[in-house]
Amino acid sequence: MTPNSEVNIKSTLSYSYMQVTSEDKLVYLLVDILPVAQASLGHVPLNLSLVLDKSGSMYAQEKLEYVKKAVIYVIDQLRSDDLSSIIAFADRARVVVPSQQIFDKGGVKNTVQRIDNVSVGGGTHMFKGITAACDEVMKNYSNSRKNHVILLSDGLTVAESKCLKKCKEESAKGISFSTLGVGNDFNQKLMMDIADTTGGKSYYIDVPSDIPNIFAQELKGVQSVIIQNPTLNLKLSKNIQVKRAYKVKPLISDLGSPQVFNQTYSVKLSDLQKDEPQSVLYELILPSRQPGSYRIAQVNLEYDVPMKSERGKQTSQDVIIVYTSDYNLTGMVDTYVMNLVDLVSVFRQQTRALELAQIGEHAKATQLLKTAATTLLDRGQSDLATTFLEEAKNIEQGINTSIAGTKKLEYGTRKLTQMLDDSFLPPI
Amino acid sequence: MKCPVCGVDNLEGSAYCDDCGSKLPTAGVAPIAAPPVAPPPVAITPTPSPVPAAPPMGGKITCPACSYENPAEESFCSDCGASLTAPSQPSPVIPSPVPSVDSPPITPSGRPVAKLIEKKTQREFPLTADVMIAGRQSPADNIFPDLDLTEVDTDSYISRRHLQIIRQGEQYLVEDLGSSNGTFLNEGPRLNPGIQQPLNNGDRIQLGQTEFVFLIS
Repeated sequence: MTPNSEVNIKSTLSYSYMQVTSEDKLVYLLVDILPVAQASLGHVPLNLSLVLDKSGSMYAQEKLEYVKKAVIYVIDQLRSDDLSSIIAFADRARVVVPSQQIFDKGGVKNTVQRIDNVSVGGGTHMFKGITAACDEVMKNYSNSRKNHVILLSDGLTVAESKCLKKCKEESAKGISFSTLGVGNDFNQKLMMDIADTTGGKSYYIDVPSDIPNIFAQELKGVQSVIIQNPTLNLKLSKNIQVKRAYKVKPLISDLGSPQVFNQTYSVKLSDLQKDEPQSVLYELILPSRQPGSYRIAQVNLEYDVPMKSERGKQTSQDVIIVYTSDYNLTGMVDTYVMNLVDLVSVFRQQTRALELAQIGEHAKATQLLKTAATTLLDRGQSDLATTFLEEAKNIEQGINTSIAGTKKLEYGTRKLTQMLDDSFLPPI
Repeated sequence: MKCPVCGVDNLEGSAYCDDCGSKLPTAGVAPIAAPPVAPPPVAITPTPSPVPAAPPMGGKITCPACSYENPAEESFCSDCGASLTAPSQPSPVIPSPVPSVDSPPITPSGRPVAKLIEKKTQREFPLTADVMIAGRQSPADNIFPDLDLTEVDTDSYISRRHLQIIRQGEQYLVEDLGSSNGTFLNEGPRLNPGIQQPLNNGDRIQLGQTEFVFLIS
């Protein structure tokens, strides 16, 4: 623990005592990144763009009406030093409100009310919307702002891979993207990938009347960013490997196959919001060693504090394990870490099950979902468990997984770690 | 660690089977009669380091484990991670088995004969020497234990060098040799490897999933 900074890191092993055996062993390492709220710090002004789907389907179920309500709320909540722009897209993209500090909130709200009159066609060409938004953000780009795009869509776009590629490129320049998928027809994989790879969040909105709430939640988050460009480096001691790694908080996502350079595995995190810890769970493979204590890794966080104009700050911590033959010690397991391991296993089984179902491995997909459902039931997550079992049944009967079902499944699973209530929160 | 559901081999310590997703017997904990699972007192336990012998100013400190040269102020080796402050802890355990090869064979007259009896098959394993290692045979590794339990352990829960039974005068002692699945005495907690426990007539000894009775006749 490094006190007196804007952020603390805390590393916890699934067990701190390791049985001396002749075999390699797996240990789980949880790293919590805990931002420290400092009232005196002020806030990071936004450079925001809202990208709104205005395709034909948005007129169904009053979706567009709820979007207007949401955008008007956002305008009301913007601070005087925030910059924002609004883009509407369908077949084409139009800049409805160019990037600016909004002084005449009433005037801009009127413009939003009349967004129906903006003529952009009826299809879904998200790439054009993304491009227009990035152009607006780049006009006023500054590394002392939170440069961010909120992207809302209810449908399948053309040129999906171009969308993802564009967002990744813009992310390298310092723009993050949050994605809001409405209803059952959007591609959740694309929306999640955009958010996961650019440091944003992905939301599933199944009922249009929730649109304003989700916008409010997202805005509150980006307005409370206090630390930018955090990179978590895990410097491994010799002969220690990372098998897999997952982001576990605030949402679960797979960090992909770990790339280790110079004994260091680096993970880019999302900008840190006040009151929102981020956590990464690593699976480490440890070699057999003589009894004694060993540093298996050093955890290091690099980050910027835009409000203090401080860049490249660092904080580090050693991860130490004790090899011993005493079963009384090696039997001790950290229950908090193991709770997260359980939830990540549900996530992993769900992800694999849907992949297997895609390639026709129905029996195995079904079995994985059922196993995961058991874990969920043990955790009191009976709603999500039911969704798992329904999907398992669909797959078993050869019915294609239901579109709504998989969205509930995937978004629900990613949020699982949020249900670990306060009593499970690691002590700070 | 073999998955009990699908049989796939998983890395020791894994909580879930990589393949079928089943929960594996608790990682790192004895499968039976484990001590109550509690979080360790502190998440990270640095060795209470005795004050290091003051290294020469600005000098180097050589890692006892890998011989890497570290700056004197380091407390762990930058290369292999071994502790530089504590003298590498003396291994608390596993004394090499006392001379077993040439120990006098079998029972001279009048000495009581002790034996292990496997419960299910009632097979008897007489303890004919002062130190006897029990385990599973592995010709490939040239391991032929004194008490060859291969035939009473069809599922291979017994390690190749699982435990040894030592005779000291009239007293018999059992010592786990760091087996994978543990040794349990009279359904008590898993024995710590390297620690000798006295055996009494009628004691039940469990190796992995196989149970034996210790008898002195």
